[in-house]
Amino acid sequence: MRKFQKILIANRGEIAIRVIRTLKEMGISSVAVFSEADRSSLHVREANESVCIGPAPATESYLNMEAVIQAAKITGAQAVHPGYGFLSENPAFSDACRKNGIVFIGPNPASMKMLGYKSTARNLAVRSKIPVSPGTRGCISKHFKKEADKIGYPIMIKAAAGGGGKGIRVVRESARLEHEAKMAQAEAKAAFKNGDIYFEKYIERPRHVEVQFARDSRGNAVAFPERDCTLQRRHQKLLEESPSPAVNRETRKKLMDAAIRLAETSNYVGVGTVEFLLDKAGNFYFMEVNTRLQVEHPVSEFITATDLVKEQILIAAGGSISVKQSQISNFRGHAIEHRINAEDVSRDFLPSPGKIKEFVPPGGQWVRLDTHIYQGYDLPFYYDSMLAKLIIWGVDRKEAIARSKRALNEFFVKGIPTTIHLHKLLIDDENFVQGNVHTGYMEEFLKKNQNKL
Amino acid sequence: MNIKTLGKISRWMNGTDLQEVTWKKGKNKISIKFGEGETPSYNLTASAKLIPVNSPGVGIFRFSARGQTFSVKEGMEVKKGQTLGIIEIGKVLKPVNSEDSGFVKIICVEDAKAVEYGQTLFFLEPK
Repeated sequence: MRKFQKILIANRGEIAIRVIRTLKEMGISSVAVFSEADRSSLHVREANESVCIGPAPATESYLNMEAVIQAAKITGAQAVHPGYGFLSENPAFSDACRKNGIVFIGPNPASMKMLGYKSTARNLAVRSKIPVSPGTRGCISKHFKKEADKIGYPIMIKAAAGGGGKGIRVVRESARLEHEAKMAQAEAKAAFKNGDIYFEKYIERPRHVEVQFARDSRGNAVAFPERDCTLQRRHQKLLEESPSPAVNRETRKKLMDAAIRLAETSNYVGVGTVEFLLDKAGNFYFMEVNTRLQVEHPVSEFITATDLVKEQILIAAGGSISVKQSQISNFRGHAIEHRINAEDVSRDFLPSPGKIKEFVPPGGQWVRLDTHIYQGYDLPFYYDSMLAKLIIWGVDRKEAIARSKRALNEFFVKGIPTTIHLHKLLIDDENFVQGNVHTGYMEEFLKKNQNKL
Repeated sequence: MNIKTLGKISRWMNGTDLQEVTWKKGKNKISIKFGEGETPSYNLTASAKLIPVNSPGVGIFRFSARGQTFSVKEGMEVKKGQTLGIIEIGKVLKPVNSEDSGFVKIICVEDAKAVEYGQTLFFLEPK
């Protein structure tokens, strides 16, 4: 196993700071990269060295592979941590690092490609004996009824050329099938110039659960208790918790085993996450794999006393994972993460960057705040609007919720609109407290709380 | 006044919140002031306004590359767009061109030194 002396963080914001913190604790020197808009960002101050890599637009700085690699070369960094977003899931970048003799902290380009593309990832899930949502094999143009009966109602008719929720029809009974399928074909042809359709099982009011896993080059693999990321708005996660209030011990074991099988089948080296849809009966279906560290990773860290960034670095250095599965399976308590954004909820969540005039962070026992903001900081409008992650631990879910409420009330930001208020309403919501939510719940919640936002 | 010192001061200032720095030694006085906008403004001794020429990328600065040499001396006259050096960005060589016509007042970079994006390499005094 090699020892890294210096690591470059190819990212900005809270995640860059989160990685730098672990590097400091491990005695590794850090190099920050920044765009001209981020000169006064906290990650630049916290790192041992920093390199300006380009102008404000991300395409010319944080997404500029050559500039990031040159920054690593001129500073003598032996490895690059990509964080999430930007270049973190780009196989070409991982490849370019390797060609320049720099270790990319993440899976190799082949794994990244195989798991990053939906169809190859789905095939791999099938090979790993992980349930995928039932559906037709490819596109169909006849025998609609026979195919739909095989899957079982309700079904979804999807346009092959569609995406992002477009071109989807839900059919609940066979009587409407022929008509809906013909309509879907015609619509798809008009909208995408391609009338190909396929069927998939429609999972009603599902939850989004995901399993963090890690595997080293020596073949050791571990899986973490599931994270529940059901509360989303337009596919953007708002609040995550672990474990899920909807998963029992038996299902948890099945989910974790599935993640380990997937990691082993794909010979994955690094940390990753496999996402599932969970139906009301507790059946889960494979959705996709994320081959990077995720925004919500701290909830897993909190209940298992693990540092996932440290594990990433150990794995990238050719070492072994430092935690045992038995340790992780004996997790303790409950963790919740609130993603606080600089958004104006009353104006349809309009991103509202600007100057932070006053900033009072929450604190106290079992409260973790991962943020890059400080009093006087001017949030640039070039990047995403997340300004902090508030992560709470409690001995059980009830205690975690009470502590969340307390911490959210302490949290004060003046100068720009934030989503703190929304989280206060959410943590108090009867359905959330009861664990009675689904992926479409935020729309219902926002409608219900219209006059309180 | 030492050029290296000037370069050091301006680079150091980039990493801080400071807007203005004044440095005195004997008769010499230099003040560097960053404006409110994106481009910093520099004032040297009297009222001479200097124009910075900044690095177009992250890499290694070279006064010569691929058989071409750019012999830049302080005080020499340069035309707008004239190449003053090269930034080696991996296999790509990116020219550093003069922002304006005038005289090279200060050279802040040395051959074969690593430079970051936007780093000031030269100061020109316009005609």
